[in-house]
Amino acid sequence: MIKVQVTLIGSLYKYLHGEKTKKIDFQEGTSAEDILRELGIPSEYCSFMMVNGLKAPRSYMLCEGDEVVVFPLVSGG
Amino acid sequence: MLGYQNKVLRIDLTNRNKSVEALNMEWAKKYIGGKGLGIKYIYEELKPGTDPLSSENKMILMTGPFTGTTVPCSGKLAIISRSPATGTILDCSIGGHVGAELKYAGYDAMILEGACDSPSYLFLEDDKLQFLSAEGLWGKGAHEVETELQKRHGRDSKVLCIGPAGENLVTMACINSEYYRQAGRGGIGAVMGSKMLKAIVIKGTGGVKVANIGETLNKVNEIMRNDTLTDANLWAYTDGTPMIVDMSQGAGILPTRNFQDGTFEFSAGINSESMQKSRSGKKGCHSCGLGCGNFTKIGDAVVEGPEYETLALCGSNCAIGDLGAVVKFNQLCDDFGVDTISAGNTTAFAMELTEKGIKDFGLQFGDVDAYLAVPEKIARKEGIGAELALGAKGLARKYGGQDFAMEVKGLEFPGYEPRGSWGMGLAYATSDRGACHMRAWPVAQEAYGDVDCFTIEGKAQMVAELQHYNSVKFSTILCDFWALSLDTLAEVLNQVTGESFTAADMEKIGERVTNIARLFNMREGFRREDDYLPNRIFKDALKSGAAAGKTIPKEEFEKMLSEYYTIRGWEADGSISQSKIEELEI
Amino acid sequence: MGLQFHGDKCIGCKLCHLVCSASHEGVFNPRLARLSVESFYEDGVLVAEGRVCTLCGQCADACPTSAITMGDDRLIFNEEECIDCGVCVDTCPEGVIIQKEEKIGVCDLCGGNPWCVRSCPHGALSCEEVLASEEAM
Repeated sequence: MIKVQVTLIGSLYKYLHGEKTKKIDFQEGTSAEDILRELGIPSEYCSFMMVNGLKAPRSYMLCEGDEVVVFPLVSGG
Repeated sequence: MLGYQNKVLRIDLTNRNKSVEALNMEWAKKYIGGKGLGIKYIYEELKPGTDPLSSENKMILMTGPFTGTTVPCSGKLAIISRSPATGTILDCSIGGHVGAELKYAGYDAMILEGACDSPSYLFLEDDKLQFLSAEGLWGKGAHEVETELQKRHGRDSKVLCIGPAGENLVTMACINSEYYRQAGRGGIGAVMGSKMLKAIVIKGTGGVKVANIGETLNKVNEIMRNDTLTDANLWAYTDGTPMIVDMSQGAGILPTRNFQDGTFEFSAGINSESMQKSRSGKKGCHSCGLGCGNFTKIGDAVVEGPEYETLALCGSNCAIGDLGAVVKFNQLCDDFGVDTISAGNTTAFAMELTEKGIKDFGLQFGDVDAYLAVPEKIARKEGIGAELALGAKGLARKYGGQDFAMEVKGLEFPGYEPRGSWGMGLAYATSDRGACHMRAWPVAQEAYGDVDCFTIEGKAQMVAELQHYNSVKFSTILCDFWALSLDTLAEVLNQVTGESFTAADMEKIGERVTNIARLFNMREGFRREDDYLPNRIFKDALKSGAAAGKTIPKEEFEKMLSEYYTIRGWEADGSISQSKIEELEI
Repeated sequence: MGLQFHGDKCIGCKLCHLVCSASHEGVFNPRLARLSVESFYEDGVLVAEGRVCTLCGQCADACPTSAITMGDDRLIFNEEECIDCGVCVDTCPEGVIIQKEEKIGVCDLCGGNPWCVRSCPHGALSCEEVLASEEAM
């Protein structure tokens, strides 16, 4: 198992039952995309994910200690 | 078509006269309202070559069929004119409640012509219009003026006003409402100032009728619950636009030090998390289900905001990571009536000119004190303010540094680094009013999505489609933040008007609106050479972050632009072909 | 009992005003709403003020023709009995009875499923007793 810190931005925090950030254990070989599935977040509601401060592809393989931030869709500026 | 008042109030400021005419319904069927219909009126009524700051220029307040109803996110007003900053067509969008109030007063639009001979303001109460003296108000900040006008005319009256910047014809002057909402860009405030119009106060006691109101109430409520108040849009409520600071930082497109880089080492100081620590309330516009406004207080600095654009252009772009300083700069810009995007961008340009020893403005990246003095100086055109009021293009023309004057057609870049999102470069270059993110926003799909940021492939088509989408959306008028489909847009429009538009009709109207804007510019002489990007984008590689090392190669940009013209049915020189004009029945 | 306003949730969007006027008067006109919700800036503070019918019954007591009566947990307005004297408008301590061109308008909780509560996007309005009967619009 690897421990990863997951932060959900915007209204997505409801998928962590009100917590915005949580350290979660995942199986080895879990990808960033898999996090969405495991938390029940519809993939289309996530715009992109950041790992350790940098945009990461959805296929990124998680490592121990990674800090993942999940951003929702956004329009405008 | 229902949802309209079928009345336009035409005001002759020179002769202090008014007349009421029917809304041109034939045009409304083709352009709907807001951006599209406003541009159509301006295109038909303005003589080519009209000086934007002369009394011959017109300013139109244009609502849409949604304005004043319960359609979610419909609390916007379009303000259209010819831009003093760029000379292009200019349509701005302001939130708050004033657009609805104009509808309740009984009008779809207000057309302002001529100019007052002394500082004045207008008070419209249903069908009664008064031309009043702005003595005692002229020279004052927008906040003080709005408070005073509401005291005089009631807190239920809605106010549009300019600050000293508009009075002094600063080409980055904005129009204010509800203290902290603006029609921001292109110098729209200077147009009002050139007419010696300090404010427009509106009180409307009537209402808006729509098709089948019982059914509409139910339908619209259902759509609000199921389509608007979803995770796709609720970011606006939980965070508001400051959420985008972290997204830009992560994607490497946060403007830093006059677009020298795409990440900022102190971005955490000005991000949503920092903002929420100082948030003391939420606010929304008329009929808004979301409520993106964040009321922020840090010390004596108070503002509804700052929005992402301000955090980027006045924060990271000036290397200011102190949220309190950005809030103060924002408050000053709002009060003095200056657009934060253009002010922040031009300030950063002046910082780089100073740093490079080209011209000393006494401004340094990260130096808070000199930076905080800028908004007032620009508004009053005093000291370095007289220079900075020229904007990035004007400043570069005078002192040099054209390569890194981050503007297109004289309108300064907003908060997205195009080297990290190439479609955005095309969007900036081809936007109707100069560098703007509100015509097409490819960033959502590129930098914040899965589409390859660093290729031109498919971007011409993407930008064209996004421009159509925003064009029709801003003609109905809806706020940017409700990401609805064209199918839903057609459904809501039909519900309100009783018509039977399809999603394809929406796309067509979007294309027509985008093209009439282009036609106006074409008539004023704009061509391909005006659809440019500053050389920094082609020559200087970003230093850090997800887009480190990137430029947009000039040949790639030119190819992308040519492909865009072809897709649009435009000529190689960027003008619209006659066949396209006929096809769209402009 | 009756409507309650929660100012900390209010964003000042006026949807409550608009659905009230639409459902009772057939037009979107915030001035014809039977409640008053305002969000505004005053001296550097964001203020949210809401006035709703509290079912105090003073209007029913004051009405000379009993056009307004207090039913089971909501007001009942019999328009035919109304002589348009305006006493109720002046009596209402919340100021939420509207004087129309002809006669008046009171909050009737929309017959049990208040539109304002249904339309408030962030729960700034609630109704203690939402009655079982739902009156179609």
